[in-house]
Amino acid sequence: MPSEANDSSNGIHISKKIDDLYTVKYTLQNQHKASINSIKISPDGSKFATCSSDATIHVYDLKTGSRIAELAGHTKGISDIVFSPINSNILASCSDDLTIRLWSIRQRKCIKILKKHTYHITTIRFSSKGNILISGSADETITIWDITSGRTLKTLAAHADPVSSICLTPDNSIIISASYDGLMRLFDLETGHCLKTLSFNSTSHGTATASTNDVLNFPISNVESSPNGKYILSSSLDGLIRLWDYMDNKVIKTYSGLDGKPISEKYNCGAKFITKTANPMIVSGTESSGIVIWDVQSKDVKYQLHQSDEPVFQVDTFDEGNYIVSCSRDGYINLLELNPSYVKSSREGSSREFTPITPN
Amino acid sequence: MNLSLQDPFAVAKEYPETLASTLHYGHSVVIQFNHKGDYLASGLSDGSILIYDLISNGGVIAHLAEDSHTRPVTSISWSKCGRFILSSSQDWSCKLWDLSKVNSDEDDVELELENSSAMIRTVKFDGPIWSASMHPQDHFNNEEEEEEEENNRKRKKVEKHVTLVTTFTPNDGSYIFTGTSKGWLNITKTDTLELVHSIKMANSNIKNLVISSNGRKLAVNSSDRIIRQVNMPDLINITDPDEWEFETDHKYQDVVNRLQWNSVAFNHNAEFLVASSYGQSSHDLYIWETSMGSLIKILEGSNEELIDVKWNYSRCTIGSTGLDSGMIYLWSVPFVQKWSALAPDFVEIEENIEYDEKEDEFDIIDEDALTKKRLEEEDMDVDVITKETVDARGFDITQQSFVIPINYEKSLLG
Repeated sequence: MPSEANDSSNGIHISKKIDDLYTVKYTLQNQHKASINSIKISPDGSKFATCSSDATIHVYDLKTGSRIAELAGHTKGISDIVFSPINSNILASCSDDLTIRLWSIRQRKCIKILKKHTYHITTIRFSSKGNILISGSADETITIWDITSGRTLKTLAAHADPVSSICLTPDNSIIISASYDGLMRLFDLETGHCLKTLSFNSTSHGTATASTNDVLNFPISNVESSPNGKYILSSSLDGLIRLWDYMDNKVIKTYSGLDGKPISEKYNCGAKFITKTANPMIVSGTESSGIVIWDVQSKDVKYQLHQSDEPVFQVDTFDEGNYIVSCSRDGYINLLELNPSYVKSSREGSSREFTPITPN
Repeated sequence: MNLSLQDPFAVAKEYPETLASTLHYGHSVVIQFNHKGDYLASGLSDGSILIYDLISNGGVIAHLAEDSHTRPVTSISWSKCGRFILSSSQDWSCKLWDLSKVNSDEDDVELELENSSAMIRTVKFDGPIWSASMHPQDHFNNEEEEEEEENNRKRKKVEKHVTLVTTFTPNDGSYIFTGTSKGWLNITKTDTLELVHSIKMANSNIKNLVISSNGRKLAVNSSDRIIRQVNMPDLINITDPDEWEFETDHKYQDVVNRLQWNSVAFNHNAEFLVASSYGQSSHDLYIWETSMGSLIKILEGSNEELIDVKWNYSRCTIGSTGLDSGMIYLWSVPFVQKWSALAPDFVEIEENIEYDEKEDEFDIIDEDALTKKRLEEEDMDVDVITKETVDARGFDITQQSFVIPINYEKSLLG
């Protein structure tokens, strides 16, 4: 990034911030013995779960923040967790111990262990019908599991470096994967075929496949599909977040960090869309600036929650962004609630009618 | 399956071409796709019903075995929302199933209090039931009525005709079409149960009666080895049943082998008709194009006679059951991996292209200026919320369909 471009835009950033966009409902500290790697809200909005490098999963009541379960069984750090989209009692986790575990929260026990990967499993996702689980691993493959039978449907030799993140389009037809090799690939969930490959080159004539050293693709740390499945949000370790039109192979928006600081150069800090507000926004964790929210269209920073200079590892949203949870390396968990005065007035196109938490 | 990034020529194909997969759990005798096309219900000869998820390569999602039929299933009908299934059987009964109750957790207290069986209603008749169908719109209210209608029809057995097949008119379900053993087509008004129209279609019994989903065409399969394709009159605007005309458009028959047809199905817009043929020597499905009446495709791949045949519209798949093994065969359109998808700068070309270096191709451009230019180009608005309403084949994808729950703790088939 050219420094003068950043400096000039910073002045605008600050003036456009909305300080009361979100309010912090509560903050939890020192819940795990090591860094918290991921945080997810259950599909019914009743609880959220965190996973940590201390090999445990904690489940909390979203409303009160009190811990309701601790799930132990993994032997190494847990990188990612995901709730079943059709059953908030079921949680899946993936770990450096090469296993994926399925947990019943009510019974506080592991009900299934899936083993296939040969190196650390970095990321997992459910399809929206809850019967297919997709995992990405540092063994450079993506595995598609049929949960009802416990069998693998397909293993995709996806990348030339560890897979860092995967996501599904809302219609469940495309798996989008991101890797440290700097590529994003789109796979058809059913056939397992690669449909498209995207990469961002800073130089005008660079090619993704060139063997020359001067072509450097920064690792992609996180991918997220837009709510309509037409765009991809990618976080790259060059410190920027980009919005892609994948049909057109084009970056259409670039979001940069506050005060010229990179968003993240080392970690997957997560990124989610917020559509509860009148204008759609993007929320992401950052390496040293806490949680940052951008306006999708203007790319301006609208909100920042800066508690410490430690990196925020994951953010998750519920009810189109009405609630945001975050977790950080130094063990902070935050619940943020959207200020009701910024909720968009017409509720058309919304899929949820209820809010689990009554605003105080 | 994502269609927008696939080969457009493969997406545009209107009928399946190759045998894609087979499903074999139990001896399937009858199949039916749900309206969205992501589930397949299979009626077994032991009276139970299996439900497959087609997205996960035919993984079994549910097995309706508790309180199930005791004789082979004869027909399956899905509600439009995908939550209910109506089945009929040779055990003289029809059953209505609520799929939200399958695969429930045993320790779930709430569910234990109420009746946890997925079978929510059963109606007994005084004879084997050949087919039962759900009312296209009002499935819950009309359920029993509909079955009683079935009952009424059965009672006519005492008279000279035996009603063999019934079907609702699509979309509104305001009329019931029935075919009799003497080749007559009877039309009954659904709300009054009055016989409003009757016409002789053939001299022998009618085996199948299929109305295309757009309501334009009717296929009558009778045991005289002919499938009659009939243009449907405008049932909505012409209110006087006496003015309805059922004109036979085409007759499909195998002139050489004189094969009988087991079962027929239309595609979504009634442009194609598929049929399975009777006899130990014939193992294929025949597809005709309905405007000219010409045979356009023979689907091969099974090693046995095929019985039931159904068309999955949105996935462009045809399913059929095998007589001997009870396997389900699925034909669909094959998609091939494009190697150009593996890198952003790969292009598939037909012929070699002479390399022409562009004027500025190897110019060194100031990176800062380039980044600045790129950022300036990013000022247009993006709509990240509005979804597509139709898929690449033109099917409505806005309608939500019921998702069958899963029991994560137990394996269904051991």
